[in-house]
Amino acid sequence: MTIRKRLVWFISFIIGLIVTVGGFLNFAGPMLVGAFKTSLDAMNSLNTIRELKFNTDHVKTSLNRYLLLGDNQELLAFEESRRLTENNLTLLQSQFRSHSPEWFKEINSLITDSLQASDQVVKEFKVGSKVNAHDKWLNQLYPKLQQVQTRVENLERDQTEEAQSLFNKVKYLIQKAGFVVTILFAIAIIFGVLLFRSLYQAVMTPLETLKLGAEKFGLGHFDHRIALPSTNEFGALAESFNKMADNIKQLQMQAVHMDRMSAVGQLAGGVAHEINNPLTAVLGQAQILLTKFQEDDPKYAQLKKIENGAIRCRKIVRGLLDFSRPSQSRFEQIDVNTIILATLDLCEADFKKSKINLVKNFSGQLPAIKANTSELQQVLLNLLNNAIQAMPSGGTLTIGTQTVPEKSLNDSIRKMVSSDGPWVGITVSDNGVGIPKDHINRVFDPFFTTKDIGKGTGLGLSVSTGIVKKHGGALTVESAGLNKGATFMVILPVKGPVGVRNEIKSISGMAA
Amino acid sequence: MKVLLIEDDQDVIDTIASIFSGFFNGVEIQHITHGDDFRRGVWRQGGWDLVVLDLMIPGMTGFDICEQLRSHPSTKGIPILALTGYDTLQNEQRIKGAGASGYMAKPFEVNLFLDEVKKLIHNRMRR
Repeated sequence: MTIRKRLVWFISFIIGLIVTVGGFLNFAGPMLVGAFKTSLDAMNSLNTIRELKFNTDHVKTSLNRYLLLGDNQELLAFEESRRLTENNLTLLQSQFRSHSPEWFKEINSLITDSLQASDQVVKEFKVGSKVNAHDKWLNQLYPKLQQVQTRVENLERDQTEEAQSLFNKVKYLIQKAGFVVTILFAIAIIFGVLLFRSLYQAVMTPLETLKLGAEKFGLGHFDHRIALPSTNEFGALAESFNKMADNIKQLQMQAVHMDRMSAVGQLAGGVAHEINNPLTAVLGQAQILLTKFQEDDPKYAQLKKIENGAIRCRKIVRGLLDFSRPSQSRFEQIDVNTIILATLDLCEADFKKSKINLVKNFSGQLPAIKANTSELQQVLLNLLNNAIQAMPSGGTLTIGTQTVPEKSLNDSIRKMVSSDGPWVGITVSDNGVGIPKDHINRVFDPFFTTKDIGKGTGLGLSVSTGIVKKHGGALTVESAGLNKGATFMVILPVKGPVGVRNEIKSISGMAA
Repeated sequence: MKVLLIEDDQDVIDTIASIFSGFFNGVEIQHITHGDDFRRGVWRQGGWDLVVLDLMIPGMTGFDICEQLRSHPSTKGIPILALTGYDTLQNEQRIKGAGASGYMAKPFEVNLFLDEVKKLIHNRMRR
């Protein structure tokens, strides 16, 4: 999963969590508040009912005492508790807000009735007959007040139960909400931790791999590559890193190669010069002696062997010198196909001897290129010789030419050529012994050879590379492996190397 | 025929001497093997038919020797055949620029050497 996706998941989760908790609180909050208010109301009305119980009781006892003692103090007490009772009823009614329950109407009328009856008894006691008042009190009012008291006591009991149950409901709701919130938070924390961990690992693990890889590469392990799955941004980064590493590795190999080339060049130059003097004596003396013997003389054959040996030595030393010297070559407009045909003529005997079938794929519209004929021929001869030696028991050699436009040159070759297009490409393919994978990068190294002693100096391809490079081109090789043949490709710019173009200009300028 | 051979390698000297004595009659060869030898100036006496000059002898370069030979009145018309074990296009151009009449890389084929020598002597006689 990409880091971007992971981040989106993580943020979505946080938003989802906020919405869920918010939604829950939005739904549960009013319910809790409602339940809490109902419970509070029940407590308040319970308090009022308790006061009512006290006050109605007081109404009964103060009235009783007044009627027994006729004490004005008791009358005042009665009036006070009567007023409080009425207040309690009003308060109770207001506590029921919109609608008052049935029992309230009943108790309200009962109490109001008994209070009015009390007033009548008091009036009777004050202005009428005291006996009548007593009689009324005993027979009517007292049972009524007694009934009120029982009723209020019952009410208090009921209301206590209700308040208790409402309180329990609130307690239950709070517990439940707490439970849900706890569960939600637990889930949030678990998922959050898991998501964050995955995000963290998705970032930190590849980051660590990249860091270690870069450090290792930096320490000179140019073969080190970063292995990260290409599923996310780090994979893409690792891929870019690896591409860069490939390029650096290639440059490093080129640098090593050039170092070796120049060291070998200096060595070869010195050795070649030293060998040429004694070789002059060997060849010269052998050829002088050869003129003194008849061809059928056994000594003639022996001398001929000395001469041949010397000539072979000369060829090898020549190769070393070619390799070492920074020769200037004359560049001229040449037709590549013509030069290839001339070079093939030189190898014709070898083709026949080795039973090699020759296939020519020449482009008919090849532009003339600016190059040095003999050097190009040397390169071709070298490639042809290699191909012939790669097919000791016969085979097919395919040689082809083509125009390579600026855009169609593949990237790796484009990096090797020091000129702009268009180019002419020459391919030499054989179906011979091929090149093993571990040799393919070394075939251009000086002195690298797999041929038997005496069959190759190991310089042919490095000399050829030097020549092709001097032309602003490139020499490449492809092989599918052992016994699968090899294809060499020479890429040469049509306009010649950059430096030479100016040189030719100045020469023609001088001529004018 | 009088030949001045400027060469330091004894094997080469012997070989060239053998070639001349084997293929020409009455050749007199004098050789110089060191730059100091050349500076003593025996060569100024002139009268040579051919100078064979190695480009690299100790004490002096073949190019300087060639220029001196060309600038001295007694030797300036004598054909000079330059030889070298270090065959490069620059060396060839440079020695020819210094006045050499012929140029050959070592080791050479005896018959090619003979052809070159004959050609140089013949050209001189024609002039």
